[in-house]
Amino acid sequence: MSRAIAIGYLARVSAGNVNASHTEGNVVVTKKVTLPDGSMIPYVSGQAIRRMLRDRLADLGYALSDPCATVSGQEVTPPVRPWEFVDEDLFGYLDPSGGRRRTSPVRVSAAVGLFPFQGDRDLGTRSFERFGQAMEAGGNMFETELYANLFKGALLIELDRVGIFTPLELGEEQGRSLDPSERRRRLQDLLEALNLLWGGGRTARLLSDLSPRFIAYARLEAKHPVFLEALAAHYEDGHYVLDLAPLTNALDRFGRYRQQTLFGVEPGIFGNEEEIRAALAGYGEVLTVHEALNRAKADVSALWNGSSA
Amino acid sequence: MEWVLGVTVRAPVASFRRPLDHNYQRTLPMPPPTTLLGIAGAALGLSDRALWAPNSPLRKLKVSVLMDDDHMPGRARDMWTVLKIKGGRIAERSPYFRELLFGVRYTLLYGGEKSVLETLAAAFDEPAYPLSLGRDDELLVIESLDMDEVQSGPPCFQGTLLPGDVRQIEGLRPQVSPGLHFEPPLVETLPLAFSVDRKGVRNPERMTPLSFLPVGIEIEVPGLQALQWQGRSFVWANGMTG
Repeated sequence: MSRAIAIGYLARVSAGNVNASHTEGNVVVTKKVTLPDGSMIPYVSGQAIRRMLRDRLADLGYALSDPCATVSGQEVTPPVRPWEFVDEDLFGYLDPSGGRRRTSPVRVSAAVGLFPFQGDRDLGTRSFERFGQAMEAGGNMFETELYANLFKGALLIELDRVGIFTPLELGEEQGRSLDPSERRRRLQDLLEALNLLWGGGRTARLLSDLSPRFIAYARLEAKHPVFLEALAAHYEDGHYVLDLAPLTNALDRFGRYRQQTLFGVEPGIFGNEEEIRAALAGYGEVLTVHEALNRAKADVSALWNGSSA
Repeated sequence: MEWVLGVTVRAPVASFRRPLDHNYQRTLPMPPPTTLLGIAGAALGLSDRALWAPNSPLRKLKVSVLMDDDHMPGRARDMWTVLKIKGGRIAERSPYFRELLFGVRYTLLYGGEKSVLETLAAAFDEPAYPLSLGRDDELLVIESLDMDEVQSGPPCFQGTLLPGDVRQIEGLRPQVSPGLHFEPPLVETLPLAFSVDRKGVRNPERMTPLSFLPVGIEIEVPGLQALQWQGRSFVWANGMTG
C-alpha cells in the first residue's frame, strides 16, 4: 500500500529576497541562518512556501478558506470544512474555540540555500511624490538584501490522510472522507501548484520563479522524507553541479520502500546534466521537470482504485 | 537485561522552544525528554491522549540524546507575525521571533525491555506519522537504527542531557585545554511527562532540572553511573541509570 509521496526539489533564484525578516533601519534583511564558521545561508520558511502553494491552488480555481472566518473575543475560527476547502484539507487548521485541529498531511520543509549569502543589496528610493510632493523633492533611500542562490526544498505527503477527516478533526461524531477521484484531483493540483511555484515578498520588483529546476519524486510504502537531506550542489565553470552521492545514497537507503521513482531535470541548468541522467536512470525515469510532474500526476491517478494503493 | 535503541536522525531545520518563552522563543540545543517520547509516539501512531495516558506503552520508556560531535548546527532567528484582535476584528500584526537550528544530527536513545524496543524499532522503520524535530514541518530523516545491550561507560559527557543542574554538582571536571571553543551548558527545568485533561489540554508533570551539555568539551562527573552508546557516554534523562 502506498502511504506517502516524498518530493525533493531545487529552485533557482537569480536575484531576489523571497522571504524577508524584519527591517534593520532602512534595510529589508532576508531570512538567513548563521553557520558556526560565521558564514550565512539564506532560507525561505516552510510557511512561506505553504502560502505560495495555497495561492497557486487559488490560481487553479480553488476557493480557499479564510483562517479568520469568525472573530469572537480573542478567538479566530476557521470554517473547518476541509471537504469544501482544499487548503484546510492539505494544509490543516486550528480552531482554538472548539479544539478542532487538523495536522497538515502535506509537510513542507524550509527551502535552504546551498550557497552562502554574499551581502548584496538592492538600492531603492521611496519617492516623496507618494506623499503629495513634487518628484523634484526626491525621496528616502532604502536597501533590500538580495541573493542569487539555489534552494533545496522537500515535501512529504501523507496519502492515507489526504481527503480523510477524523471525528476529532471535525468535532463530529463521525469522520468524513472524500471520493477517491476528488482526493486524486487535489493531489494532482498540488503537484501542478509546485510546477507553478512563485510568490513571497517584493514580487513587484524582485519577482522570482521558484518552480523546480530539479525534482525527485518517490511514491513510498512508508512515511520517510527520503530527499530531505539528499540534495547538494557546488558551482563550477559557470554552472551548478548537482552532487550525486547524497542522492543515490538516499535512493539506495530507502530503496525497499520506493514503489515509483521519477526525476525531472531542467535543461541548461546543471553542468553535469548528462552525468545526472546516467546516474539516476537506474532508479527511475529521468525527464524534464514538467514531464516528470505530468508523469507524477499520472502516477497519482492510479491511487485508490485497486491498482497501487 | 536492559537494551538501548539508537536512532540516528538528521534534519535541515529543528527547534525546541523553551517552555516559558513567548515573544522571543529560544531553542534548546537538543530535543528534551517529552519531545523524544513524542517522536516515539508519532512513530507508533499514538494520539496525544494515548501517548500520555497512565497506561501508555511508553510510560516506562527511558530516553536520552547524543548530539553529533562532528559539527555544530547553524542558528537563525525566524520572524513571525501574530494577528492581534481589537474590538472584535483583526487590527494589527505583532512580530515575534523563534530561534531555529539548521543542519542537526542527533542519536535519539531509547531504553527498556527488548520486546518494547523491537516494536519501537519497527515503528521507526515504518512510522505511522511523519517524524519531526519540533514543529510539524521540521521533518527528520532517519539515517540508521541500531539496537544493543546496555553497557556501562566512563562518566565523561559531551553533547548530551544530564538530569539535574550541572552547576550544583560537586567535583565536576571539565576537560579544558588551550584554544578550546565551546558554549556553556544550558540548564532548564522541564517536564518529564504530560497529562492530558478532558479538554485535550496538556499539563506538565514531574518538572525536573535538566542540563544540556555542549559538544566540544568533555565534562567528567565523578561518581555518576554512566552508560555508553558507540563510544559516547550518557545517562537516562528521565530515570535512574539502573
